[in-house]
Amino acid sequence: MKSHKALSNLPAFLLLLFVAVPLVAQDTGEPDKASLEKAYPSKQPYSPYADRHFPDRVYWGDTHLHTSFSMDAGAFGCRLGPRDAYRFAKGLEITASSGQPVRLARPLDFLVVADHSDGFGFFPLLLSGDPKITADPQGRRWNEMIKNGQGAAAAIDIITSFGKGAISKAIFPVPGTTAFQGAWEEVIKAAEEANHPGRFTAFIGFEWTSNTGGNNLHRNIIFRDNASKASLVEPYTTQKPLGSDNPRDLWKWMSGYEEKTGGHVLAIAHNGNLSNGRMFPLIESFSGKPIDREYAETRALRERLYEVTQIKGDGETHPFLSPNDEFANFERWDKGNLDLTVLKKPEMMEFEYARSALRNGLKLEQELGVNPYKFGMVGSTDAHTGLTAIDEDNFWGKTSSSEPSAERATHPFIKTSNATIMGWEQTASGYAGVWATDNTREALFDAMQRKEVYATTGPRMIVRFFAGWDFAANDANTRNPAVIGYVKGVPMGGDLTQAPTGKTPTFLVAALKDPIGANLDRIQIIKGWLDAGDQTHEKIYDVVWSGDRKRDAKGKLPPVGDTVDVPNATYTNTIGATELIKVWIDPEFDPLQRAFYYVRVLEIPTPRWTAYDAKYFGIKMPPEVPMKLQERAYTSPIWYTPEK
Amino acid sequence: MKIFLGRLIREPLFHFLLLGAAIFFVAGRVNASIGAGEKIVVTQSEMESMVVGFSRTWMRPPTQGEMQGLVDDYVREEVLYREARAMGLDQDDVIVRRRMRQKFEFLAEDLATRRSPTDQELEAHLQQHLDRFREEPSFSFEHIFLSREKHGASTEAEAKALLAELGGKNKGTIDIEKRGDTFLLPSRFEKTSAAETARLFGENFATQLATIEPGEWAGPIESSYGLHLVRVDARVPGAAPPLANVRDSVLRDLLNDRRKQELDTQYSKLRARYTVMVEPPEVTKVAEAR
Repeated sequence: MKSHKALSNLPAFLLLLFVAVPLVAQDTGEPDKASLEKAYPSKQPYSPYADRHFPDRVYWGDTHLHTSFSMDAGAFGCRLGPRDAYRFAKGLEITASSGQPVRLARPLDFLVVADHSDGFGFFPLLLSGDPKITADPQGRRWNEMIKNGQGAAAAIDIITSFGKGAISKAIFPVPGTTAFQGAWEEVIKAAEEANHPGRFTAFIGFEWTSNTGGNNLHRNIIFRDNASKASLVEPYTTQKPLGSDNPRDLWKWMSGYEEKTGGHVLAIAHNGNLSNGRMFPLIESFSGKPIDREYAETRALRERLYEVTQIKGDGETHPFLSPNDEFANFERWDKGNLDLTVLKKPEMMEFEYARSALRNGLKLEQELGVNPYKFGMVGSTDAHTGLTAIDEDNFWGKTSSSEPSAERATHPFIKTSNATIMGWEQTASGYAGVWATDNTREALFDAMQRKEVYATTGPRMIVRFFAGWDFAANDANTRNPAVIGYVKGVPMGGDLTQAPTGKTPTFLVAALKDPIGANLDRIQIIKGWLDAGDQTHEKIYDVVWSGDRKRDAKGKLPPVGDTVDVPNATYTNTIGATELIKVWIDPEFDPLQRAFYYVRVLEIPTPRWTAYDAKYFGIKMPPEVPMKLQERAYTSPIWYTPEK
Repeated sequence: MKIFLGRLIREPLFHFLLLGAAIFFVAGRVNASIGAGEKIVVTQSEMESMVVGFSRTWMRPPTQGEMQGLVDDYVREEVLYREARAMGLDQDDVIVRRRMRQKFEFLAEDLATRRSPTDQELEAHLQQHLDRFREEPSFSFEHIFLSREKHGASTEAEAKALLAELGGKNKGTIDIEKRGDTFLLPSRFEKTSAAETARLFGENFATQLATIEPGEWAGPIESSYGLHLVRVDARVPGAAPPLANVRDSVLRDLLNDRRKQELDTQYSKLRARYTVMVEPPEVTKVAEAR
């Protein structure tokens, strides 16, 4: 739609300056209204398009996809490499590792192939029976298991051994080895070839897989830069002595990269639900000490986004943490850590889920002066198949062994002596929506850094969220709400500081259904705040909904209804709304209290992937298997921070 | 003479021959004098490359102790490498064989891509493989959205009334930004491909848009969201692009093709030097049985 010539990036740059203001406002005081108005002249120029420097398109993508270059993906049978992954994301038909033809309903706009840096290129070596591998007893055992068709058992053993740090040093590719360097070069080359500014963005990236004790502290690293900079380094790993499992060391590595090359990288953590209380700590698990200002500052700088929803469960919140949230019990994976070696205890959850982390972030900011958990939200797949395919009717599973088959739902996905996660528990989720001015590495990366992004569990609904002091009810009726949104407020991911006397925050929120998807049930705003006694709270407000439903005496909105025909795996858009929009004013605002607000958009109920499987394979699912769901979107929050 | 030398130095074949001579020379020396008294020289440039390798991983140069470690390891590798070769350990090793083959192929590929294609060659390649580079049809258009949820049964009628007004006596002066209903997609799209339009509005909208003559307001046409009046300013049919627009892709594609060709030519030349006899399967089996 837009040219990607240097000149046309000027507006993008100007916009960046503008939206960057609230981000830095923490330290520089309140943004000056007059200067903001200069950036957005209130009188429209004759040409209505002349002053449009804001992002008017959402770009869809996946920030987290594995290919055969990841040792566990390879072990689970993935034979597709980064090149295949990019081709598939662009909408081309390919053959999956299970031999079945596969294609996306719609192409994506961007993709990050993020293979595990530990053991980068390990699997191709293992599979080829490299003498270095087979000279080692462990390597030989795995090689033989795979050759004898016990690939899945080998994969589980490899992952568990990795979690325990029990992979033989002799066989593990580490930075500096030819195998490791070769894999990194391939990954970079594949991204460079697939990257097509203006049409498709292929980011260079990798996953740093800190997994000590089976506790998931994984982060995906995304480069803003091209090969000339990214190839000056090798991916950071977690195995000592070259790497470290402590995020503080990863952040040092990131700074090192930026200082050395002048480039930029960002980190996105995921699956706090499998970290057993370590993802969003108050007490650092590595030192046993409360987190300090340095940790808070660095994390806030390096980790501006969190992957809130993916195949291994949705991580917004949990019924234990949000007992008053009727939609909290959604696709939860809460049995234990990543390898199920340690079971979950309820007291761990506060430090695992996005909403509670956003709440604790307010508390930490009060104590330390910096909020380490001031993150925006994206969804991604974390698929280990090379296929970013998570539509409910086109779900290709977490691993190649869980690509479509009559058995995949009813076979255990992970089974240990402690617990079992069944195949049907896999969540067909999610994607990242990015409000950017152009489809390029630079524009998308910058949008991620200013948190103008949101997560969905798969559908591509369009969601807008603005906060300001002066939105009026009628602003929801303008032809293009984004114009008034940017003029009067800040977008998702932004900040409001010290309330003008007597003012209350106002919010402009809007959602448009996925053009080939289900209608919308409602838009909710979720508020979290810190009270005068340093206690955090949360509250969910139904802001706008479809039809003429009325709240009951307790303020509860009746359900939207349900048109799902499970046996036929269909639904109809006879209920719900195609578009919802509203200006909302916080009815319980206290200008002295820190707060955050984010939006949750719910679709009407639709068939879950298990229903499509049951229909296609003609099988009967066990009664405990959910057959429908309400897909959703979570926006990045907007924070309110009073003056000190 | 100078020019000739300059050209010679840049000539890939010359590199190839030089490399071959070097390998021959080194291999000869190693075979002749393996064992006691053999010299290993760790050169300045070797050490520099060790430092570079180390810094890439660690983001800092090695300390003195670490440098010593790197040198020791280099020497160890060199000793064992030479001894292993002298013992012929590289002979039956699948990995070594594959690596050698790969190196040879890289060399051949290098030959194929060293010379940049001329514009004429690129143009010829483009014409020959137009199907690989063809651009999708695209549209530039404006639209006004009318929500069925808001207007119900009268949506069509209202759309038609608005269309009449847009083409009526106030034609051209109506601010379309103020007409129609709230909609989250932009009201104007520039050079948007048919596929992209379908992704944003639904298949039906894109199909109908393709039938609308540029110039005047038309419609209404149905999208996934409701009705739209549309005015197409420009329709670019799917066309063969000029070389300037697709130069990079054509270059990549041509080099790719050349690489493949070069590999095949080289291989068939070399292959011609050999007589290959493949034993019938029965014989192999018998041999195994013994």
